[in-house]
Amino acid sequence: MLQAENLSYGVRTAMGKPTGFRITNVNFRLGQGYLMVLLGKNGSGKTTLLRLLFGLYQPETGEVLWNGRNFSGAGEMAKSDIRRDIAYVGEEDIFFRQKSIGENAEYFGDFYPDFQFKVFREILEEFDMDTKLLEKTLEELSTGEKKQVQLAFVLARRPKLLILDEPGANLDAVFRVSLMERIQKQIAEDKLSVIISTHILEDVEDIADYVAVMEGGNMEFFGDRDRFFEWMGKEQGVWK
Amino acid sequence: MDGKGTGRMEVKDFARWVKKNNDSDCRKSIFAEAGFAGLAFLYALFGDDNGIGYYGGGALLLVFAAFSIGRHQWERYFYVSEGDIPGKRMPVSQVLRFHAFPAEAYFRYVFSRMNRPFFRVLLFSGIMVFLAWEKVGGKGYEMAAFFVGLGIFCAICPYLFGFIMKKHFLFQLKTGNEGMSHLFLRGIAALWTAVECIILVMSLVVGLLLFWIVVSSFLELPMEETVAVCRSYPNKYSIFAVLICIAMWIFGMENNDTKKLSRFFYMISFLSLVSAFVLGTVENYRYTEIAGEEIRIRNFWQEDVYGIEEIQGFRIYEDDGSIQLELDFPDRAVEKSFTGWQSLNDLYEEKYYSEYNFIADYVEKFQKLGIEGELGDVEALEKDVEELDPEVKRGLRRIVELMGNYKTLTKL
Repeated sequence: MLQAENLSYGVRTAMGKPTGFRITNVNFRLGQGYLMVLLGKNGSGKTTLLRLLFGLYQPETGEVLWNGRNFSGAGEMAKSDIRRDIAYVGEEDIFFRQKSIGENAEYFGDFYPDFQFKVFREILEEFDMDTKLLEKTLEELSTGEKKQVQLAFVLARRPKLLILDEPGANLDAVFRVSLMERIQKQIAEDKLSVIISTHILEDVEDIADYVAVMEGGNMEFFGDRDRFFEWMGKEQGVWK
Repeated sequence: MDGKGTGRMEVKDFARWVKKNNDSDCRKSIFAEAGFAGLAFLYALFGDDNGIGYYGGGALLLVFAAFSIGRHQWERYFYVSEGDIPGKRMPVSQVLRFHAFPAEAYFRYVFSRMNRPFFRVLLFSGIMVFLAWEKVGGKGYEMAAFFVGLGIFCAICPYLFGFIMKKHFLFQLKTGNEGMSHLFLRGIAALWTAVECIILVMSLVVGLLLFWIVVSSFLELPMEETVAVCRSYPNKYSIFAVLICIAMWIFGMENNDTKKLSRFFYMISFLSLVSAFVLGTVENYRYTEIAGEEIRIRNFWQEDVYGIEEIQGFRIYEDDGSIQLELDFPDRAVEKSFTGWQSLNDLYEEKYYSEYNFIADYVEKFQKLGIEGELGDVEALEKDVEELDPEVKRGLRRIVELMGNYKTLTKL
């Protein structure tokens, strides 16, 4: 189970100067085998929250717990251990750019006990991708292909928690359908928990068990899908 | 490629992979290190007896080798090159932070690797101590103590570097930032880049000097002249190299957009180096030889021959423990005479037995021709005359007699 308790964090520039934007007092719980959609406008704090959950940022107050273990306050070794269970795909590359996809998958796959190259290849095929691209370097792929390959990799890792930051960006509708099918398969088989940030409201209807809504760094809403639609009816001004 | 992930990837396997990836990029640094070692070796071999050569050369070698180790090791294991762009690298942490990567264990492993090249430094130290011992004899203990001190400093250096870099690495892991906010680290990197460039430039100098030594021996030019060039050139012209290196860094050697500009600066630095070497060599390659009734002043492109009757004045003094005869020519500035090394060799084959006798002979010749001279500071006169070699004493007495310094003569 993933728990965020009283999470607060002030975003800083690369030079360490506070930007003034804050994530304030975020609380929620997500059990095994559930999918949560994180909604919010641009700049609402979705990416910052996901990075906090993955331990890329250190919260100023509060903590992130994974199966009872304090993830956010853990040292690098403990974090590394916990990250065997948790996968994250955002804007950044999780592979080395100058190495082939095959080499990258082999190297990074070795960090994870459940990774199987065969499964990685199968997922690529499910995503309707030519497996010849295993020989290509990340640099040689298009932005969409890069994301597809990296998503295939994290799914082949068989994580317990998958955090995806706007996976639909730069990708066609057909791929999005394949991705969601694959995710739902792993939810059913592995009790995978998933957090997906998106702008697309239809995703809520299609896949969400839970919904969270970010607005100005605050979590304005967290609840199941039915409660979300109820809440949304009252908040027409924001979500019309 | 059908293997199952073990989840137990050894950090050393990963380290090997990263290192292999980086080795070609690190080669230039290794050349630089080797080049510097060569330079220090030359300093040690040909340096002054008063310690600049041994101590200076040895100290520089050790300090820079220690720095070099820290940087090479760091770059080998914590950066990966980006495609075909030379020098363009990204921190491995930028990718590793998205994985279950045992950062602490990796750091500890790499840090333990840092000790290995340190043995190279120890080997160099050993050679330097041996050379020093051989050359200075009685000063050997002092020299050994000096190197032990330096050895300790060098042993600490990679650890200090590692301590700073660990903070940097963890910072990168946490933030994905390359460390731009760490101006201090960026400053170190800049300094390091400049130092490595200087070392690289110096390695070229050493190469050219070695070439020159070979040429000199074939042309039967006096080796001491080459040694003089070795000693004076790097001090005098390395400032150009420093400026160029700073410029190279400012214009972003590691930026793809400025790749062409960087190449241009590389080229300029190389040409500057070559021209500086040529200038330095030409400027330094000049010597005066007195032989018989002639005085020959040689440089690279000509030899001027004067009869001794053309001399307009002279001055005798001691410089760095060696007697000098300075001559005033009609059409050029005063020329310092080394009493001629070739002639110095002749001293022992002919009648002089010491350069004092040799100079005394010429003072006599000058005086017969009515050429006036001056006796400057001669350190030998300040010493206890009983310690002087009988031939030195004889020559000195003749010089003082001829120059009319009777007060000093009573001492002799």
